[in-house]
Amino acid sequence: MKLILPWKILKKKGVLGINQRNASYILPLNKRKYYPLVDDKLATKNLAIKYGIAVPKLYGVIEIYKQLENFDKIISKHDDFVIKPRRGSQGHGILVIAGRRKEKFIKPDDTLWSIDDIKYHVINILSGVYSLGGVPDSAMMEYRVKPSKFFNNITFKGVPDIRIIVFKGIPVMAMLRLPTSKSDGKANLHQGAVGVGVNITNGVTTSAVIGNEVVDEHPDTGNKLINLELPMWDECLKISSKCFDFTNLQYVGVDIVIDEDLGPLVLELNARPGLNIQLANLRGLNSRLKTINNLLKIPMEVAERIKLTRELFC
Amino acid sequence: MKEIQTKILILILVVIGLTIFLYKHFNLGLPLTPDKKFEIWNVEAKISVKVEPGPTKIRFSIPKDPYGYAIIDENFVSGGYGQSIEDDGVNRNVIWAIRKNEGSDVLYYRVQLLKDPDLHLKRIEPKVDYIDTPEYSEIEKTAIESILTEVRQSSADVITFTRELIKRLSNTNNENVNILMKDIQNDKEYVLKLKYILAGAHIPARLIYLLELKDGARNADFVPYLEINDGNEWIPINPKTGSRGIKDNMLIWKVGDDPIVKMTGGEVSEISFSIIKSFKEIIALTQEKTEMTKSPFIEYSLLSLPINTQNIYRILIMLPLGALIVVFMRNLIGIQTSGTFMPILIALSFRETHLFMGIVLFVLIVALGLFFRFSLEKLKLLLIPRLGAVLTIVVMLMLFVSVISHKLNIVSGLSIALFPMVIITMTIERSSIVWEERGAGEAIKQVVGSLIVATLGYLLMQNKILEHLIFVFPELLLVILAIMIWMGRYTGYRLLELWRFRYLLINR
Repeated sequence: MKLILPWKILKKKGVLGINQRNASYILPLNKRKYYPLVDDKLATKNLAIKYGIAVPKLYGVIEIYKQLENFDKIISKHDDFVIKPRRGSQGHGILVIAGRRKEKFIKPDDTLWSIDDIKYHVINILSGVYSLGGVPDSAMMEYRVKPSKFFNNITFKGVPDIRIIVFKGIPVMAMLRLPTSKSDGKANLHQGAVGVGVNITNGVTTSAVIGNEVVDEHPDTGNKLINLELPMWDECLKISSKCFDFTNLQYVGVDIVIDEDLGPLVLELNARPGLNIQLANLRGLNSRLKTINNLLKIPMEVAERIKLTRELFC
Repeated sequence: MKEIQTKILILILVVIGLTIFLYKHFNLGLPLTPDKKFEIWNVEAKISVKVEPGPTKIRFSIPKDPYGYAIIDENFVSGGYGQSIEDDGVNRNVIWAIRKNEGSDVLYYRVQLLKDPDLHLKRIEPKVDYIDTPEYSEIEKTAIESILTEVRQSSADVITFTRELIKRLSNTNNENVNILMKDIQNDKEYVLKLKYILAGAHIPARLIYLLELKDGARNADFVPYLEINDGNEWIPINPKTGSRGIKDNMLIWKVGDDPIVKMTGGEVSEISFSIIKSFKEIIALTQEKTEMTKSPFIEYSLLSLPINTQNIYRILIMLPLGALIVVFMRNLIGIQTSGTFMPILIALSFRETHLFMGIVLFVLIVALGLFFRFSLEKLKLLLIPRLGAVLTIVVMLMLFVSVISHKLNIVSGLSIALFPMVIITMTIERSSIVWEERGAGEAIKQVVGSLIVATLGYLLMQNKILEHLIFVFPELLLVILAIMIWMGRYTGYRLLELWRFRYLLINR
């Protein structure tokens, strides 16, 4: 029997490792000076609006402790909202308020928080507990996304989101992240959310994993996860490709949510997107990146670039 | 292009590093392994005093250029006493002074001596050319003159003269000897009597105090000894046997017959010396050898620094090796650690506590710290004050651990001076956030990862042969730098990624 070395197989399948992601793509292609555009979520939001990309509406920003006085005013018109650190990473420090009951606020897991609990969370955000490098930060209050009804059967609470990797403006791979009871309603794969591979050309789901286990059904709802066609896929591709135009990041992860009323909204961008997308799709990313690297010319038009996606990865 | 540049840089670094290394080894003969062990003697003098009201002054003699030994470190523990050191060319004294009410105090003097048989400085101070005969009493004069006449007949120089004299004086049947020796109570008086008699022959003599270096001695005492001057230098003579020189385990503590410790404004209640021997590996590079080669590689090397500084560099110079381990474990293996270089600092602290106790201590303090950190969570403190509070708790935990382990007679618990408390505090804070956001599993994974890296780092950094190699051949750091640059361009999979992507191996 011939011994086949595991790294040879992975390489043949075009699986991207973290060292290669950093050394071959992020370091040479993503210029440091563009990082603040994606690390600072407020800047991302403003730029996205300028480029005509829909984002969750901003209710207000708290930058210093003193502004906590305005907190009540900012949220007075809203029963539900989301508080997130402006420079947070990996979804740390995001607080979702789903509604109110008298003086208290209801979290998605039905626990009640007082206004002081929320203010303490904001103070922690300001001190830099959740920010990159622990530098003082600001807190953003924004619209809480109502997920499209499409997801009702395949998610457990929380907001499912779509991650699209965009390389040189061309969407190359996509995955849908579905919260589970284990992930506590968060769309975070580390915590047990389902990662669903999506055919980048038509938005049809192909495979699903929880952690490293391949699954067919959502663990909480029991509904099938494969061969579903995501709504408004064309729009999602268009948005993700557009994000390249204003970030100048050659290798970027775009996180999109589909709102029941507003359609696809860009939640945030990531200059160092993770590699789990390969597990969800059961497919290596590197071969696709190489295909694009070998292209002689990359079109300026978004529509042309999406056409390229459909031609190259069907 | 970048690849080629990197490869050339790596090649240049390796070639330069190895060339200097091989040159130093083959042409200058620097050894690859620590081949010589040196004896280090740690002497501690403890002086207990009773102080009377008013000004108090204590003068304590300490060694100066001892014969056959080099002082590599010394320190004083003197509480609130003012302290100064005086050097009269022959002796050194430390002077402690204070003005206070009565009470008792304990003062310490600690010295570290390197035994170096090659270090035999000529003892020429103070220079003496001629001394007068003392005014002997009638009876003494007759006895001394008669003995000295006999001695003179059977001796050639001052050394044989002294030896003959000592031989005569040990003959208790001699009438003259009995006259001279009748009121001698102890060795000190005997040596002083020898000096007194030698003065009759115009031979300068003096008393010196020797300390016998015996490993584990708790109450060592001084041995009075004789030194005579042959017009050139002072020569030690055994006052019992008349033989020249001193045993190599004897340390010359003080010259002259006045007491070792003098005190005004109180009295010395006790003085004791404890002695411990240890070994250190020091590069066998004698003075002459350096003179001989005169190579700038040795003249400007770490070996030319004072031993104290060398000892610090012995630790510092191992840090890159620790960093190499971190780079290797993180980028090639894929182990997660809390904080990039935190494991090295933990590894450094293991030098003090040793591995097992170090790990136990680290786990204990991080676990307790996390417990208190979660308790503090309820108080809803701001970030920086919370970090301050956790740090304070970490320090108190250490105090507690030290006291308890001392009571239980576990000595290692006490030696945690280097334990990086600030780093541990940050570890606790970081772990608690990871714990909350990603669950206990992830937090424990990171702490265990850090401990694995720290353990490997420790094992490598305390390796005596590696320490010697890098210390004597610091150019090897260029090779380490080259390896790091190479790892910096390594784009292959991390070992743990093979496991992470195992489904991609099997499927399709």
